[in-house]
Order: sequence, then structure tokens, then C-alpha cells
Amino acid sequence: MKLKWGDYIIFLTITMIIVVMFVSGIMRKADGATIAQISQHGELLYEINLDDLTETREVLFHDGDVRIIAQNGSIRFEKSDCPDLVCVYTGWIKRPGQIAACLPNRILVKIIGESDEVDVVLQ
Amino acid sequence: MITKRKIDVKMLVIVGLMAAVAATLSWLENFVPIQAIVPIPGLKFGLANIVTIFAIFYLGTRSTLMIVVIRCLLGSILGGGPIALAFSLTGALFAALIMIILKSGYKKHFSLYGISLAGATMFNVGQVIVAAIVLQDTAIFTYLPILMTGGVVAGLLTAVISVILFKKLNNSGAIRRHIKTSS
Repeated sequence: MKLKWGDYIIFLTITMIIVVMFVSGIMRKADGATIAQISQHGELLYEINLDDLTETREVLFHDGDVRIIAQNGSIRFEKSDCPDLVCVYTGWIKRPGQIAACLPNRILVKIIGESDEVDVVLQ
Repeated sequence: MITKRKIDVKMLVIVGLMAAVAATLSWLENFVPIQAIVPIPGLKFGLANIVTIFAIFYLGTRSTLMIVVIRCLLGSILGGGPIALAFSLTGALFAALIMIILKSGYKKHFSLYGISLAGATMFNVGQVIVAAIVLQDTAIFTYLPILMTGGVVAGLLTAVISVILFKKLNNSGAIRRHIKTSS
């Protein structure tokens, strides 16, 4: 099957979207503190400053069936009661902009740089 | 006055069959532990999209949409539940719609590769939109480029399989014998 000009346009468009979104994600580097926000159902429940973690912190949902742990500047879903375990496979996250999500439980862990917060205030 | 619409029984059987094939394909995909190897949430081969492509080219728009909806409903019964249904239905409909639109330019402007690629990445867009709604947070959109990269690979894979499938089907003559609305 021969490729047509439209194929190249589709491929270029997709590539450009991917590159632009990747770059804009990397550019958004924060100088301030790295903070992990844990929310469920869109409601912010916990904020953990990942920079000054001296010991392992645990956040539990569902009586411990969902366990999120933070240590050494990183945070991860260690255990979950959801069927797909996508959240656990995501592994450790530590850079601003990174997220780990458990959709069945509607739990979102997202990492923000402190300067992100300032931007929001300015708006 | 009652208007009677003739139901094409043969078409009905084919639609049912294709929905079953698609549902089986997406169910079988669950057994490939792709998440453990490439930890991209929501990443799939999208083999059921082969059926969507087939339906668009050989069965027409109406049948395609029916197959997609039935496939997703069956899929959620086979395992997945309501949230998985929202994901697959939105993604699959997004993919089907863009491919139906692009099909009008088939052979003139687009080949199967471009159409399949657009379908696969639109599936990802649908997924991320549902994820943003479920989590009530737009931060999930940072996943889109990662997911789309996987979508490009999946789209090329389904395109290659579809090209082989179409060639075989056209040669076997089964399509000409059984389906009237071929293109």
C-alpha cells in the first residue's frame, strides 16, 4: 500500500503535538519546593513536601488496601485494591508535572513545583 | 402509519459477529501484561480497532457505530465495569468517528496507515478526556504525549494487520459473496 500526502500530514501533526506537549512539560521546571498533592474525587486531601522528607510517609485509603508511600524525594502507589494496578506499575514519581493515578479509586497523586502555585495565585 | 424498515438479516448477523470478534480481541489483550513491561497507564494494542477499520470499509457507518457500542458493552461485562466502559466507549467512538471522516479521502489523500494512526491517537485523546473527568483534574493531560507515543506504535501495528487482512479478504472473494455495501 502506497503512502499518500495526507498520511505524512497526519504523522507530522501527531509528532508535533507529542513534541510540543513533552517540551512544555519539561520547560515547566520549578525552582521552589517539590510538593506532592494527593487528591480523591478532585478534592485535595494531603500535601507532602518531598524535599524535606526525613522519614517514610504513608497515606492510606480504604483501611490500608491502598497505600501510598513517600521517601527520598519520591512518591509511589505501593499497593492498591484496584483490578488493573496501573497506579502501582507507574512506580516512583518525583519531578514536577509527573502524576500517578488510580482511576478506579479516583485517587490522583500529582507533583507540583512551588512556583506553579505562585503562578496560580497571580492569575 | 407504521413505516416498516426491512432488516437485512445477513447484515445483522455480520454486525453481531464482528462485535463479538472485537470484544474477544480486546478481552484477550488484557492477558498480555504490557503494563508490567512498559508502564504506561492505559496503553493497549487496540486490536479491536482492526474490526472497526474493517467495518468502516466493508459494512458502512451505521454498522460500524453499532459494532463499536456493542463491543464496548460486551467488554465491560467481560470485565472492566463502568469506568472501563466510559474509557473504551469514548475512545472507540472518537477513533471510529475520525476514521469514518478520513475514509472519505481514502486512496486519494490517505492510506490505511494514516487512517489507522489517526484513529489510534484519537482513542488516546478520548481516554485522557474521560480520565480528566473521572479525576476532576486536568493534570492528567500531561499523560497525553506519552500515551500518544504508544498510540502511534499501536496504530501502525493495526494498520499492518489490516492491510494484510484486506488483501486476503479481497482475494478470497468472501466479501463479494456476502456483503453488498463494499467499497
